[in-house]
Amino acid sequence: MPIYWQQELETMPRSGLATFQLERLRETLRRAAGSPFYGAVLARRGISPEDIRSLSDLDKLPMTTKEDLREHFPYGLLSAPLDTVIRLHCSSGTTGNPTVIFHNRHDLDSWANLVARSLFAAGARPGDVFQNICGYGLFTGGLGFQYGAERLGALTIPAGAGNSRRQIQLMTNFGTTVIHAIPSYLARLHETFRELKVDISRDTRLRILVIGAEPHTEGQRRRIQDLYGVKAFNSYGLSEMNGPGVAFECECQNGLHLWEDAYIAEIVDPETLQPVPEGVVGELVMTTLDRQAMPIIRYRTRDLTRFVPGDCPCGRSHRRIDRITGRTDDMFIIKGCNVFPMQVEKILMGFPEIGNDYLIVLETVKGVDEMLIKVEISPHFFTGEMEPLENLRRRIQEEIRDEVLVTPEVRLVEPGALPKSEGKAVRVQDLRHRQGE
Amino acid sequence: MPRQVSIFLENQPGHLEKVTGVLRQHRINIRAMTLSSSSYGWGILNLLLDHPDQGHQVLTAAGYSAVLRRIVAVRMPDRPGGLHDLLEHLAKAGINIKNAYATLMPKPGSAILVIDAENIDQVEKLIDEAGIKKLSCEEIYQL
Ligand SMILES: [Zn+2]
Repeated sequence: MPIYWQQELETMPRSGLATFQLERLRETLRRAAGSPFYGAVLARRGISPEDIRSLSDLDKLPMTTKEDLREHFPYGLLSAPLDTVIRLHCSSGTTGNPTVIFHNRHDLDSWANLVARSLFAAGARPGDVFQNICGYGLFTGGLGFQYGAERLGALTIPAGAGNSRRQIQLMTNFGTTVIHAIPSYLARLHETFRELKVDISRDTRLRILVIGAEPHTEGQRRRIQDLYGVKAFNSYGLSEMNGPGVAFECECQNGLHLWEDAYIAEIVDPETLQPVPEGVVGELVMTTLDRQAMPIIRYRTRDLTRFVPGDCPCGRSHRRIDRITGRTDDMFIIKGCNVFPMQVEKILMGFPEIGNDYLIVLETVKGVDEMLIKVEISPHFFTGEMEPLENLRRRIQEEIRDEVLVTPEVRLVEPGALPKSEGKAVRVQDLRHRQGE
Repeated sequence: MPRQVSIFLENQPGHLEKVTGVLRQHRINIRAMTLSSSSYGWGILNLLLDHPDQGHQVLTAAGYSAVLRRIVAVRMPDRPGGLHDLLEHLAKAGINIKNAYATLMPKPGSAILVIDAENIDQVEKLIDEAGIKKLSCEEIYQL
């Protein structure tokens, strides 16, 4: 039984991989130079693709930001004739221009292959029944997984997001073996399984969960695995780098292999933009190596992660990144401390006494900024006595203080009291008074 | 054995009314109730109901964290110092009373005391030893 989708590429020795990357990087630069944006950037810096003699020359190239994509919307980064482009995906920009990514036939083909390779690494095989529980349309998780799973050879169900009863019906009707969904939805879907008295191990053929698109902790993953009784594999992608299929967990479940034949990944300090030592958390910066219509060079993803040191027992040579621990723009500052919501979540998930949902409220109380954390107490934990609840509140408060160095107010709330958004869960409400507002 | 329903409740305007509303909708009568508040925005509501099992069920279905807890109910001693003697008797035996509340009975001048303690079996034994009559489920629920 093969364990790789593309053995030669996936297990290529590091030196060979570097040569391969350099070749593709030069090719990418030649293409990028054809776009108005990169043409101007390279001319201004006096850099030609031939000046890139080794991968360490990458730092001669400037980084690209989301603001660059917005500013040069829609065609500024397009490097191919528009009539060779066959698809676009575009972000829902709430303020200002959205960002748009164009693909030609080669790009879609390459992307589908990366998703197929990713699913294969997590243990999915041709013949699996893959139910894609996520929004289609402009969101890349829908079509990205659809074409990738089809490429793998799975019977692919474009189930879309929401409607839990229908999801379960599809699963039992067609014998779904692999599900892709966001982690917070899987927790809710499980409640519907319980309501309908559908026993996952008895009544379904489910064997693999793929979770992504929403940062989550190891604790949350374990919870989902316990609920469903199958393994859950972490998926990472972002629309600027196609979408899903950028990095994926193999069966070892210890970090996500980032496909380095298709991307160059750097991890930098978000303040200084200098590389961080291996194993240290920083901002992931990525360069496409196999996208023709719209190459992007040194894109600041704003996602925080680290390279997992060491080799993976699976034999793949592509480096692993850790689960995303937050976004540079999720970070909030309270009482002079930098806090990432994931730090709080990591602590909360360690308490079985509380539910899956939580809310961080930042508010100004008598002129002072305070952090209030609302958590739902689990009905199974409630005994009718005060002390266990008060002890729980205090333990949560202390553990969070030790992690983020700010003492939060922790408030226990009734089950179901916290807002559950249909898509990504709302975790932070900033109600602080701003000067001038 | 007699039981009360205890539920977790946020101290927010309107929350108590929602609970009594759920019970009224299911025609469950409240015989007595107490609310113990923590200083952190929540409390525990103890309800003595005419149908505790059904009350527990409808409140759980309405999304509340609710549990049934065993209690002991006694007629309030109608002589001076009677209540003190009873509580002292329990305290000497090391009983930690979580909660105690009184409710009036229809008969004038008569009241009952509801005791919610950790070791309820021992409380029952001590009360029996003291020669105090415990109220049966029927007596409590039909107050
Ligand atoms: Zn691996």
